[in-house]
Amino acid sequence: MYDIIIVGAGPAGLTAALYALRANKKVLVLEAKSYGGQIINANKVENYPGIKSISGFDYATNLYNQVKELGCEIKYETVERVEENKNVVTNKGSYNAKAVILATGAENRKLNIDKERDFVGRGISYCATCDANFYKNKTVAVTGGGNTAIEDAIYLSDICDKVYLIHRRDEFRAEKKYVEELKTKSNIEFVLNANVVNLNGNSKLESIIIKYNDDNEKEIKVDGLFIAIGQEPKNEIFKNIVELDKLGYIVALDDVHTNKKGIYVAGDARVKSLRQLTTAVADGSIAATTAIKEMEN
Amino acid sequence: MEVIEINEKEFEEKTKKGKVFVDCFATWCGPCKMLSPVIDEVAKEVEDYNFYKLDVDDAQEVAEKYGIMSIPTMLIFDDGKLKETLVGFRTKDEIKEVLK
Repeated sequence: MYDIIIVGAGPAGLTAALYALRANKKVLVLEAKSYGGQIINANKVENYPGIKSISGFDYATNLYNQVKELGCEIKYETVERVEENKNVVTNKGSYNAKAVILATGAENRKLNIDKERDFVGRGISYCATCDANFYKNKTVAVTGGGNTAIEDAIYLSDICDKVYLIHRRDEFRAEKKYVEELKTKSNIEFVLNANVVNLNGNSKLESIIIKYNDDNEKEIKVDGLFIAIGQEPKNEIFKNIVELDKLGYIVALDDVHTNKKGIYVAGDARVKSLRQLTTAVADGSIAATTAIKEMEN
Repeated sequence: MEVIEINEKEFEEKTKKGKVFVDCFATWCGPCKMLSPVIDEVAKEVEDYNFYKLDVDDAQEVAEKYGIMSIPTMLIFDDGKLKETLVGFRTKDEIKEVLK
């Protein structure tokens, strides 16, 4: 019997573990893949207060080592379901706790068009910092309008011959500072009010079809397409135990309470207005302290 | 078995015989750093493969030849023939399943 089981070893989950371990609780963290969550893909984190600049990998590894030194138990197993009595069933076993914190995060949103999956690693990428070097002196497109898309386009513009930025609107959600920087690049072409609707190529991506909001279509020859259209949650397995909103995020009644007693949510997995490292770790600390307080009452 | 780092010049020689697993990585790639200890563990448990890792930043020709456009990419060979390509992070169990 654990005091707290945490599902997910990203920044929210590991911060929850940190607070629970420091309160001398018995903690189990369950992670399906590797620790760190989405932040490991970030080349540089420069908006975390008190840390001027750090790679996402180094940040995640520091946090991981911090909880490991406190004796954190981490099992690499895939959670299949969470039951009413706070029993957590994985592909390998079943564990019980007084409280469960869901910190499953989010993953890259897909365009959901034909061949998208087939071309991953063959022209389709969700991580510019990972894959940009394979497109040296080539032509690529980025689709999206948020910070990630604009940062990706800036990064790629220094490596590639030409970068198209395709966005479904003519305004950007990204911070102005990034958009202004992108506009100074000579090899960027903005393709606005347009969506990517088709992918062409045999063994790898050769061109994309874009459709403008006025229904006109155009083919653009590219070697790569970087998809940066935000994130989506992966909470499907919890839909019978906690309430999800229509996008699939876990509804949090206030900070971190789900609609089920003893089950909490932290980080990108929940309904919230800002999904950042700072808000993920804030959730993790609140979820752990709230869970501890309520199990002792 | 240890995972041995090889360079582009050694690549063909090392992959032409027997069952071979190559982890194609780069030093700056976060998911690659996550994968590396996983491959170390797989290598300890799977005996009939030779395990190598290749820094693709210094192996442009191999990257070109095998169409590597994303890392980490894992290449699995049998007597020099490419049997399987895995793109992106995988768990230990997922990799072992492919090597069965």
